[in-house]
Amino acid sequence: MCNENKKTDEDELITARKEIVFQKEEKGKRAAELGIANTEKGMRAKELGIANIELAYQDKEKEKRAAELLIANVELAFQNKEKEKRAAELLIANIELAYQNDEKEKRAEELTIANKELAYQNNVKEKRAAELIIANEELAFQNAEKEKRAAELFIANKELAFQNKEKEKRAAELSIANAELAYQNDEKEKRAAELFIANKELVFQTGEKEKRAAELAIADIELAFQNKEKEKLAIANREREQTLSYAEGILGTMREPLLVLDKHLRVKSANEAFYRTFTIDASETEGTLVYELKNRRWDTPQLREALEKILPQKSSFNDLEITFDFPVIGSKVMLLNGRRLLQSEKGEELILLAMQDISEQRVLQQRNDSFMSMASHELKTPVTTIKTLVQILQIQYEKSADTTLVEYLSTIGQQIEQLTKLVTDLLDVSKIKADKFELEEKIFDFDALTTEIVSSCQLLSAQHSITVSGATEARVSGDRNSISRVFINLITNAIKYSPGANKIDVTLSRSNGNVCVRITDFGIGIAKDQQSKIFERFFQVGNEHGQSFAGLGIGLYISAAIVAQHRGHIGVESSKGKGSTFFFELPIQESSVAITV
Amino acid sequence: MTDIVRKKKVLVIDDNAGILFIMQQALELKQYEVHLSETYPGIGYVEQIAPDLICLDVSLVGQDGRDVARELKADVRTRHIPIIILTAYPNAEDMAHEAGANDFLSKPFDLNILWAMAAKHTSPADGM
Repeated sequence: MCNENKKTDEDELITARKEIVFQKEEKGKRAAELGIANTEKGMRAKELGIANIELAYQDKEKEKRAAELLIANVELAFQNKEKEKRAAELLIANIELAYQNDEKEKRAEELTIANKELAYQNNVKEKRAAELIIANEELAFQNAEKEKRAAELFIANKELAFQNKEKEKRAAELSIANAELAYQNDEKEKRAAELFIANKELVFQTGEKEKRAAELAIADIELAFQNKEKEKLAIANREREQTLSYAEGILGTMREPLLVLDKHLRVKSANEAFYRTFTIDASETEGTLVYELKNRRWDTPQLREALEKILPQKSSFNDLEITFDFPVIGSKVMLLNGRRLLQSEKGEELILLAMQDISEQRVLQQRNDSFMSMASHELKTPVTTIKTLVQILQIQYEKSADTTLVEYLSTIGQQIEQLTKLVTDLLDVSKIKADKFELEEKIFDFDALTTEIVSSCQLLSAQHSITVSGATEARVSGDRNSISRVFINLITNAIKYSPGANKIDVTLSRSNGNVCVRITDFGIGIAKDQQSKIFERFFQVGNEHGQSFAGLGIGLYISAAIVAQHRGHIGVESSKGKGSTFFFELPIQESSVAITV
Repeated sequence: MTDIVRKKKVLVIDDNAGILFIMQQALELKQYEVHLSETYPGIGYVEQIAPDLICLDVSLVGQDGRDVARELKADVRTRHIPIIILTAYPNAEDMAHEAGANDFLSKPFDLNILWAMAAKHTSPADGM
């Protein structure tokens, strides 16, 4: 068994060895094959390298050609543009040529017409040439005739020339003789003239001598007279110097500014007060035209009117109010009096201007007016409160049995009405002063208003019987309420100031486009010297004992303002102790012209 | 119609206590519901109260009543409310009209005129 195993192992070894040999052979073969394959690979690699180089070269070539193509394209684009330009130029050139052709044709036509014209003109010329030839022949014949006559004339001329020369010789001889005679005449005239002048001179000198003698005589008399005059003048001068220094003393002492102007309105002199008030000195003032003072601030229309219109006519004016606006010293309100003076000796006219500075007074007045306005305005609030409360009480206790209370309330009510009227009047006065009094304009029947007022005023007095006579039959344009106030004021005044009388007459009429109202009482009347003052603020007429009547004395002032604002007129006729007639007139205005101040 | 009628409301603006007092007394006598103010309380307040009538004084402390009237008449919330201007100026018709007010009452006024004017501006016929 064991042997058998050994044999098997040896067989296997042999097989294995064979196998190994075979595998070695196989390896050798494969190595050889690999060598060949590697050689192959190396060759292919080389070939690929060459191929790559070739491709790279071709790429570069392509890029070059692409660049060349780009350039070629740009070149083409440029050439295209050039072609387009040339095409456009050609188009223009063609249009030009077409135009030129047209022109040529036109000219050709014109030439044809011109040629026709020339041909016609040539024909005319030829005709005229033929006519000229005939005319020339005629002229040649006439010339021949003329030459014949010229020859005949030539002979006649020679004969005449000879005769002329003879005449000239004789004329020359006569001319010489004439010249000699003329010279001798001239000489004679000259001497005569010299003698005449010499005579005149002698006469003149005689006259002069006589004159001088006479003058000397007069001069003697004159000298004697002047000597006397000088003595008189010396005395007069002394007196005048005294007067002058007296006058200057007065002017210098005056507290109010004063100007003396010459007739050309130039400042002759001014006083100290003037310089002080207007902060100006003599050098700026004397010799200056009054309007040029203070940078022409003195050039106001009112002053011009006063100096150039009023003074030449009336020789003086008083209380002319002028407001000057000065840049530094401010606004100055001045009252001016002016007077013309004639200096008789020189015949020189002077103008005296005296001034009063009322600026401060005016400010105070304004302050007073605005205070009055404010005060009366403020009074209205408590009056309203009291009035309303009294009315409420009156309503509540109207039917109560407490008659005393009702009576008290009624009296309080009446007093409040009076107070209301006073406050309203005061406010109106301040408005009039401030030019703020406003009216509402309406057209109304004047006679109807009169009747209405008179019947309501009749209730105020049982003693007086108020009668109306006449009629205006007019419609008036204005503030009905304000005109009612004028009426009521005049009638209540008539009642108030005629305590002993029993009637008041109201007369209506119209004249010159106005309605006229006259209210006549038969009471205490107004003295002449007071009549101009009664329309002033706060003025009241007293009775014979100087005792005044109740009221503020502003009713007539307000009435006058209302009438003036209606462009009307108010006035009085009265004699003391006999009664007064107050009248007012208002224009009849059918048109609705606005009334404002 | 029911027996209960809504009271008409009146707003009075005046810087004077006396005037406010008498306005209240006078208007309450005529069954108005009265609201008082010493100064202009502003449009919001007016809208809230929704008065049927405003009585407005011209000279309020630090303010012009006419400006107040213009403001109220310019605002859609209050422009329908009638305004009576109270003034110490007589003939204030133009002034009241210019401020947009419906009427004016000059101090011192008569009680009957105040009542008539208030009634006129709060009556239904007035379009309120």
